[in-house]
Amino acid sequence: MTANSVNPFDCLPDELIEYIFFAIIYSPPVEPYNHVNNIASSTFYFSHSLHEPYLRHTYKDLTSLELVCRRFYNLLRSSTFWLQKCHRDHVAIGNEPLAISTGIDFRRLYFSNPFHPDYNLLNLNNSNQDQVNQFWTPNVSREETPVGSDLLYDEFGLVSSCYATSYAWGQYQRDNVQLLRKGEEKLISINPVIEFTVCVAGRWDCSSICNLELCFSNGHEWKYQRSFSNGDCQWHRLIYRYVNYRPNEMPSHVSIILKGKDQRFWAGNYGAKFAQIKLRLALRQENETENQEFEETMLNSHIPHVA
Amino acid sequence: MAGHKIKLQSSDGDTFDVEVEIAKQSATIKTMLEDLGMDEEEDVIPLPNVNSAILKKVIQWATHHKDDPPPPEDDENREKNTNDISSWDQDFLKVDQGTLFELILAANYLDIKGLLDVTCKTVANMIKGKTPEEIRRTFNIKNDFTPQEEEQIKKENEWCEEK
Repeated sequence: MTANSVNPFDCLPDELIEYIFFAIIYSPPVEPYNHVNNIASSTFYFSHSLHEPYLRHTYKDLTSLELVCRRFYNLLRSSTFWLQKCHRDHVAIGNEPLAISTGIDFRRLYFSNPFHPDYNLLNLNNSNQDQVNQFWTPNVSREETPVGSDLLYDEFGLVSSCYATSYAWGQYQRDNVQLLRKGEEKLISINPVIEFTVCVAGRWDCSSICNLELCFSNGHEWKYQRSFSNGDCQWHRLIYRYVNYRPNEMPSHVSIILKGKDQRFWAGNYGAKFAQIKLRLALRQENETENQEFEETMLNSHIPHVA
Repeated sequence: MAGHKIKLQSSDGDTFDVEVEIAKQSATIKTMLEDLGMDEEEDVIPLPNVNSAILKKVIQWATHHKDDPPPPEDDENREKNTNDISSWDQDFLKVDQGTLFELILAANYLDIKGLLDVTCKTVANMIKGKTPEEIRRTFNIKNDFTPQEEEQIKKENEWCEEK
């Protein structure tokens, strides 16, 4: 480094300094099965757990820059800088116009984004398999690849594992799952949608049944029952969007119970199967005011496009 | 049209003969040529914001990159090769800080996206992983915060340390 007595940044306009700051980025390599392409917007997002440490690393460098001098600090505290940074670094937000109009702090969202499509409140502190298994009753069997039903793919193009129930009710239970983490309380003011998703399937050789139940801390409940006849071995994605709670009174917790069994009392695990259980927050769609429940049948031929 | 040349004039009055196709990597020059319908060999394009030392470097860069495919427009492809600077560019940019920053200004003024990207990435790499004090020392930046302000900012950023 040459000894120089001038600050070279003095000669740059703000927009070029911002451009340099945009170039401070750590990112995982883009590989098959680690990201989802959004063809419509010609962009993509990584799996949340893969991306987060890189984003934290980037964020840390940018907070160091804030402390360098006032000029840097001011540039790095501008909300438009962070909105663009989120865009460039593939921090997916969802309904961006809404996010902007409701004054969401994009700096804050950068590495800790509860609206990430791959964010799952049910997995936050349960990253390993044993921790996830403990939420199931012992009569439920984990299948690395679904047995007796269609294959199910996740959005990254990988085959999902699933949990298969037996002749007595098998159950997944989560009590009082916190919907907002510490520091996210401000998000209450934008009245996020609470979205629960699960994929369910029966087997080709045995009829079965499943019950789903969500219980929110404000007393609201959602119940759903579905049976699978013989031969119905397709996966069905069930989605519930809780929208219609009183404004600014988003419930703080939800309890979840998923139950399933077969209807022929067969020994073994011939009951309903569950996979891809997910709880997340989402931004409202335009004019979305009613709770919504929908079911989507997953065709076996529908293998996600992997770039 | 290959080999057809135009003259570029730096702020300090030197002129450089440059092949049109090379000069056109600069969107600024490309627009000028199109708007003015310039194709006479005698035409000189004045570049009052770029001195000859920097212009020479820019031409050297553009000559090396003349056969590059045009930079991808879409976000995704740009991202996919974000972290790598080619070894030729790395050698090319082993220059003093003053020159590097002047190249950024010139790339911006001439609107050469590839050169702007690579110069900004080079500065970004000089910042990455450094503490505030190391960054100040690297670029000779004066700390204009009071100790109290510094404490305050550090406090504001504490939330991101917790998982």
